Amino acid sequence: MKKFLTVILALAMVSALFAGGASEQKEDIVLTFWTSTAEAVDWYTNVVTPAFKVKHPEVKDVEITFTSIEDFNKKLPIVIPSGEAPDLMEMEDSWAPQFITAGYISPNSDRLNNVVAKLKPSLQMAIEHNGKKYGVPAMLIHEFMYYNKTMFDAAGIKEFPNTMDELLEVAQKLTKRDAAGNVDISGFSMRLGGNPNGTFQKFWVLALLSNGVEMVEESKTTPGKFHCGFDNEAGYNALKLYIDMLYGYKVDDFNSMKDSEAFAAGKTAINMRESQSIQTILELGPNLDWRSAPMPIGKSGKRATFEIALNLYVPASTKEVNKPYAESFIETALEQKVQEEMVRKAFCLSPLAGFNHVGLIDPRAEVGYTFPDDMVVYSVPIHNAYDAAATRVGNALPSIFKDASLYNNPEGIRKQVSYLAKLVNDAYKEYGEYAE
Amino acid sequence: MLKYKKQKRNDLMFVTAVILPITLLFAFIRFVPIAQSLITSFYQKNLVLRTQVFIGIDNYKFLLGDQFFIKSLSNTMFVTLFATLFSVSIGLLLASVVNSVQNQFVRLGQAILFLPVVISMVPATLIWKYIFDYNFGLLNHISGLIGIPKSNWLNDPNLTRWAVIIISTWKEIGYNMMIFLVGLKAIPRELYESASLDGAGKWHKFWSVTFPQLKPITLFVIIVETIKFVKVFTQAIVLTTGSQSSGEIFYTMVYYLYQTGFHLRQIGLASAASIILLLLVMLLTWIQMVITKER
Repeated sequence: MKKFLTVILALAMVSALFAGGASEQKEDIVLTFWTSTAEAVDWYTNVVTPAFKVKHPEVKDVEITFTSIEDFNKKLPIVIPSGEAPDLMEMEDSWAPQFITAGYISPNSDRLNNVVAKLKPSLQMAIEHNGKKYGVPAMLIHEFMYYNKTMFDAAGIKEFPNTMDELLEVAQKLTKRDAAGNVDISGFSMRLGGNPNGTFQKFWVLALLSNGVEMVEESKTTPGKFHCGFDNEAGYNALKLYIDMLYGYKVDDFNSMKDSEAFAAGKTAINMRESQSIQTILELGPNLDWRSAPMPIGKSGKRATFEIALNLYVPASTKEVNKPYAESFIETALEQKVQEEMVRKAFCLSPLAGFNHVGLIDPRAEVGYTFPDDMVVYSVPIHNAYDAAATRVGNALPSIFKDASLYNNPEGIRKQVSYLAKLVNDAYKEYGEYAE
Repeated sequence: MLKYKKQKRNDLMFVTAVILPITLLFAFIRFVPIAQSLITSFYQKNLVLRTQVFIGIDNYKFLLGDQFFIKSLSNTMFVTLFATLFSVSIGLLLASVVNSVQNQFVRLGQAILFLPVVISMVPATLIWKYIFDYNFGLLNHISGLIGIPKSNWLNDPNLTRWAVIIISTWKEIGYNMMIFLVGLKAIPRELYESASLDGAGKWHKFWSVTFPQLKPITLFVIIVETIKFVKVFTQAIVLTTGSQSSGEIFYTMVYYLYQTGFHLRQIGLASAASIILLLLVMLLTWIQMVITKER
């Protein structure tokens, strides 16, 4: 009897592992929202959510979760397919295609499309897949130049360089070295490693776009399919630009302090970054005398920058009872006054058509926020393979940059360009999006 | 006799009935994912798109020719070898010192040495990252004071691997010390007294008495540490990513798996890499057991 009871007890203990409680009580409405934009958390929490709650007092809470962009990109492919997605999420436009193709993000409802109708025409097209619209752009980010005015004045440089060639000469002049010959203050802060997508993104805008090429171009024989767009002379010039900056003009090296932190600390004369970098500069370098400038004119004869949309999506797994609230949250985020606060707090551009940013941003950044007539604004292609291709190129670039033998070595550079092109083409082949 | 056999059979049935459910659960949690990974490794499969095409051993062929996988394997083996060597030998040395000196300061020292074990790896590595920093790091500051040029611990792959080894070793020596201490305290005093009577000195006692007696524990520690270091990931990534990184990410097998599976979303290829990692760990464990087998 004792043994029988022991067996029953053991089985009961194991069964308890699988037990789950079921509650019959009415659930409070809690909206879950995920973002990877650190600069926007304050805006979502203290501007959008209060405005939303005024309309919907029955909503108990909006739970906003921030995850760093590198981790967010890896978290989404696990949680979304497993049905654990939040009610609402913000992500970069280039991340969405695979989730859309797999059916994890539904086409916009009429309500969301009414919001989209208020946005810039270019954005309305950018979120379209197979004739349907997905997601609503809430913020736009783009790349421009920041420069240290104190250093420029000390060197007698009155204006920011207009062309890439002028930029290289100015950066060379402003570079300072320590006693050992290492770069102490870089003339231009180069992104040479770290997160592969970030490494590729900087290479894309500074080198590829300024030379008039993109990572991929559409096949002429098979529309809707793509192949590498830089396996050519422009791609060679793009990689050569980086090699010349490192080993010819020597505007930076691998040991110097980098990026916005370096700019705020006065350790670089020129930094190329997105608009949100202003927050870092204001926090870490409040006394810094800085200005902004648009991207210089490249070998293509035009200025080039990218514009990335941070879109809000309502996943297909969102509970029906929460969907209207998620859509209302999106509507709230795109209201004029709320967008004005977004520009003030998150330092991004508004996607609203006809929006005037003047007076809302630090005056020093206004030049960077304007798009001159000779500026070509590129968007990230919305392909399933794009992110994988960018990651692979980003993985390969650091070791290529470190190869000093590529300086004055056209054949070596062409070989590396071909290698990078193969990485891009292989990624597109894997996703069935490749054609010559 | 018959009654005895019946009793024994009943006891066996009872034990089986009691442990069977939890054993099945354990097997399900442990072995089913491994079997699933093995099956998935023969497919080209996307984590999000859920497309799946049977490609046989093509994933394995790709890995053997992929420079990033080879680099990951090389880095992982290098770190595992030296981190295991240092953490085990330093742990044993510290345990011997602690065992031979009995006072309250030694107890305090034990607690201090064990602290790294309980600290989370991410904040610990962040602190080490500042110590290793080329421009502002403590190490380069100290080396500069004695005339040694700065070292690029975080951007020179040849040095980064040693930075990873240092952090990994530092994190584990406290744990190994405690395990060896237990083993040292279990060695009968009579063996040392006997060796003393035979005229054995300290080193002779260590090699003739202590080391043989610690063999089972040493094997255990080496296997455990090998498995831990083969999975090296956090310290490598925290050291070599971030806005101040200008070198390559320090590739390890687990980072390769992580990036391939969750960033590139090639879950078939990641599964193949995980099977190779599993086989590698099994091989290393088997080699260690063969080497330390009692003759």
